[in-house]
Amino acid sequence: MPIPVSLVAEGLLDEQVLRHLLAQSGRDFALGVCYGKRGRDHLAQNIGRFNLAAVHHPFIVLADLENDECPPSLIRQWLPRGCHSNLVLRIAVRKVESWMLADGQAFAEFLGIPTARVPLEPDGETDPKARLINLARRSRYRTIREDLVPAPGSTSSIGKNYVGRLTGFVLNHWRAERACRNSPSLERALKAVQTYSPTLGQA
Amino acid sequence: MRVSHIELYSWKNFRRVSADLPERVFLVGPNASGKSNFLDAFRFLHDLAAPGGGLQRACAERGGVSKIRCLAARQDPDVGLTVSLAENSKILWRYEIKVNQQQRGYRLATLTREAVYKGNKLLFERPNAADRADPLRLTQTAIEQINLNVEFREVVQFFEKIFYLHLVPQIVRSSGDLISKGGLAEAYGRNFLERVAKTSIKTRNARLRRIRDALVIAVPQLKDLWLERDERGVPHLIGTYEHWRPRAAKQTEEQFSDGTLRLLGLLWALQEGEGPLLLEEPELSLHSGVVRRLPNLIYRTQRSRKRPPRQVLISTHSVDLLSEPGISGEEVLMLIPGAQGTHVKVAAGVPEIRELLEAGMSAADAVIPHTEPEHATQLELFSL
Repeated sequence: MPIPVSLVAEGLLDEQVLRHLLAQSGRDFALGVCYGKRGRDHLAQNIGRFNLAAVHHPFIVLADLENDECPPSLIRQWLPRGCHSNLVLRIAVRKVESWMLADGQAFAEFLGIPTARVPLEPDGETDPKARLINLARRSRYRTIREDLVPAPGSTSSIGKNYVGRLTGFVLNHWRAERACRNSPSLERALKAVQTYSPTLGQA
Repeated sequence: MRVSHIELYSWKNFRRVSADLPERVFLVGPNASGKSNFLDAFRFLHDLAAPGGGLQRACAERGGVSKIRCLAARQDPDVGLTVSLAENSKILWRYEIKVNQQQRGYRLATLTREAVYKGNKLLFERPNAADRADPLRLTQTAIEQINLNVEFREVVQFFEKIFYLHLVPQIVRSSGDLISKGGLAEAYGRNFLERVAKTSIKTRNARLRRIRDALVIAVPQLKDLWLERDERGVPHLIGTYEHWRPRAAKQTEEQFSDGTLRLLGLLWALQEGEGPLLLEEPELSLHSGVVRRLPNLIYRTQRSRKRPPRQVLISTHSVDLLSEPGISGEEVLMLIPGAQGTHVKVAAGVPEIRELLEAGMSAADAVIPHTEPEHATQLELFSL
């Protein structure tokens, strides 16, 4: 019987990565709605509430580590009284972009750059998003460069179709099992959802 | 008095739905899920009872019974609805109506059932012997017949007071030249200024003063607000605006911004009348800082001792509006479209949402994800 789960993510792109991770996990999940999608602060404010509701309903949450020290300390900070067993809180080190970069072969093909340029250990990047955009600057395809890279002088750190273009990448090219070889945080996340067995309450 | 419960049969998007309705109701759902059509059921009751209204007109304005009938409906050709009217938690009245269309001839709308209950007691039901003797009687409801509705005049008057508001600033400014009479003209603001002008001076000034006090918060340059008739007798709203010149400048509604006019119309409607007020996307043209405070403002108006509480039904897509933490899960109706028509669910009735709300999450965060179109991601990949 499929396991019903609801998702929580920081943004639209994070949601797609999480959905594809779960779809490729080999588990039979019935994916419900995705909550949040209003940034990291918003997620941090609400994580305790998801944890409370998790008593009756399974949730899988994806968040970025950003500049916090390490995932365990971030989880302790967000959920000082511990995480309910029905709530899976996975942290991408340091951003979900490193999980995308982790599928180096697919990403290099997508950008049209040599695979060797994609970092081998994206979890070690201090700013994987900036790294991704810098790689995109070297893309062979003009439309990809225009979509992902912010225009000179723009106050935005990303291009105008960053989310749309990378959603396409996740949907059509990204493979979780390939990517987890290069990203320990993704590998742990994949293992966690593969062994996840929520206790279903009356929900 | 408020509509405490509604059932719709084959009404537009809804094959068969029922819902309990508190004093403040928020309707949420994806585009084309039937939020306006849900509100239209209330407008239909108004159209039955309004002077110059009645069953034929109410159906004709909606394109006939066949246009009202739910596309997902199967055997049952009747369209209709049942409402319970309650004061506090005591049900005082129930009204049922079911309508079909004549098979030939003028294809008039004909009643297949009409019933009124006072409390639990059936006052009358149709078709009765007189209707069977003269089937043409079934083309009119008892609601529109003064000599048939003596015993439940209260219900008729209540329906008449239902008011739908979807103010279109351009129509208010044109003092109605853009749109002909009847139908939705009133809701769009055709006679808005005339309505304001017809209110007694004392009431009008008191209301405009309260509106000004609220408006200056949203529009700080505004200093004063009053109504004036021009030399042809046409009423105009005049506002004075402060700027760098020593004397404030006078402007009429023709120069008011869309947001100012919509907020003004909303604040007026909240103070006017007693029957259910139907608000279509009140967030339009307004700043999110204002939208966020509307639910509270509506609640406070309902609690004001100046007038009996007015039930307010609000259709909305606004995250800001639903972020107000005082909104309870019982007040939010989710419209979920499907192949069998749209279903209506009370947010508090969905365990997952209920638990999140009880954990302190806002309706915006707990409910809106459930009303997002299933394939919204496709829009990310789409270009024209």
